[in-house]
Amino acid sequence: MSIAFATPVIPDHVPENLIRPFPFVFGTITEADPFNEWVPEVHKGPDIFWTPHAYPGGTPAWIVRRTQDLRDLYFDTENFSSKDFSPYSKMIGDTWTNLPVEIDPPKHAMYRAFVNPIFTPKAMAALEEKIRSYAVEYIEAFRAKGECEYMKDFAFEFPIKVFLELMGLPLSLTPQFLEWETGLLHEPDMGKMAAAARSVVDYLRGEIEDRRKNPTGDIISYAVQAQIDGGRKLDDDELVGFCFNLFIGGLDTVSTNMGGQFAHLATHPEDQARLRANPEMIPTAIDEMMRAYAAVTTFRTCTREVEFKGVRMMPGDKVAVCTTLGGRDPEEYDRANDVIIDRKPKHVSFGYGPHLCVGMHLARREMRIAMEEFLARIPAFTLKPGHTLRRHLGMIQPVELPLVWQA
Amino acid sequence: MARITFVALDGSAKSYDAAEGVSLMRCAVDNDVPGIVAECGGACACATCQVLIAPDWLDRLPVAGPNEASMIDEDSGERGMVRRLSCQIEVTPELDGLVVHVPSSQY
Ligand code: HEM
Ligand code: FES
Repeated sequence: MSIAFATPVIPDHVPENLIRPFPFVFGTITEADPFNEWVPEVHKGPDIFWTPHAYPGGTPAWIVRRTQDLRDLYFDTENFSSKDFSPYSKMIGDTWTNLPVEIDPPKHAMYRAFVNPIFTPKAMAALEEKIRSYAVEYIEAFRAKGECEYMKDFAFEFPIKVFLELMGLPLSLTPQFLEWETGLLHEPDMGKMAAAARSVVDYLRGEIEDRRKNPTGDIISYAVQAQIDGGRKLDDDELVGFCFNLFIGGLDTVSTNMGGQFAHLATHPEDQARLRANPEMIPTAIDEMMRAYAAVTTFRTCTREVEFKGVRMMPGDKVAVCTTLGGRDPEEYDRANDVIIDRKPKHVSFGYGPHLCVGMHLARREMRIAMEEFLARIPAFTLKPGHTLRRHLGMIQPVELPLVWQA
Repeated sequence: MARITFVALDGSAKSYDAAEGVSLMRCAVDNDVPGIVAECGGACACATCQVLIAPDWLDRLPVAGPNEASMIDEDSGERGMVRRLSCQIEVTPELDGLVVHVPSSQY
């Protein structure tokens, strides 16, 4: 992949011996196996290092590779702020902030108290049958063909459908949402990314306005009616920031993890057979695969001069919170690069600390149902012979995942 | 220091000395009490550190804040006890003798 970056200016406080290459560049595609080829190499290096092109747009960031250091980083919200870690609002000249993910404590807790009730295990359990019916629909559409392109034919659209349902939006918007999502998260051209952001925001504003007038039982209606901060309503920027956060947090993440899990099952027939025979092991297996194929990297911005684990950082420095590295730290996990489906790991793939994924109960439910239904309906499957897996970097996601089986 | 007893789902009980200022969650996790998951590490964000506490202890516990309350269903009590997030309860000398029950599920 050839992307030309400006020669980095190395700040004075960055010591020579901590400048390292880091192949995980946002917006690029690789044929290498980043999990098994690159991550173990990174774990042979320093605990924390500086690299010129890790932040979206090809700018520098510190990389923290140890699981425990990442946990400490997640909790150190005074020195490491989540503010403005994503580019979208600024990129289109807007003033909203992704909420709650880009709000720091203590204000963050007020927003979490507003978001939490939507995503409780109990609220998500009520969606079980709906989610299952969407999964079955996708799987039945390709079962008799003996093959599918798992990402395009299932993983991308499935979480979008669930999301549209929750937001009270028409299911016919599924292809439109997928196009926007791809533009926001996998588009190297900043102009096209901005255009996608603009479209999403315009659309969300229209829906918010509509629910003010015609509230229903959906999430947008809940948000326009909710009271925070001792009785006031959310303003326009807060409502857009909240909806946008769900959009970038709740769709591609699920598709990506589903892809990682099925790439594993397609290439590890013994695990596939074990889960097909013992579906009650699926939830535990999913958490182990979430550890081993963690895909999300978010960022923090250093707020003041700080020494973090012996490394001096300056205000404005970006720090990558790369769950991909945190999932395979050899000092945290025995045989970190082996997938042991009954391991029951404590991972940081949903984050850690105050910003821990508020959608995790929904995400786990979607992934579990997808795997239950697929394994129950499709016989032993493999990767299509001759196919070389390519992955997007940034959010580490299979570009295509062609699977074949005996129909 | 306070002596805290954790009662597992099977009814077996184990007691530990907990230092003042640590959370009940930390005490449980450090002692590998089964059933206390604590996925967020004590930030009031995961609701997987839930415990059940008998009502007569409530006036010695801090009142649940809005964030904690937003994650606990009002009717989620069990066996006549109320649900709390154990990471939001700091050990104080007053809690000496507290008995904490592990709930049937964290999810
Ligand atoms: C497997 C799928 C998912 C993964 C791996 C994932 C991962 C994450 C991670 C790592 C964070 C923390 C970010 C940070 O601290 O910088 C996070 C936060 C968040 N996630 Fe997820 N997520 C998933 C699914 C979902 C779903 C389905 C939704 C909602 C529909 C969602 C909504 C959110 C929101 C709103 C936040 C911000 C929480 C806060 O700041 O308090 N996520 N997620
Ligand atoms: S440990 Fe996560 S809420 Fe208590």
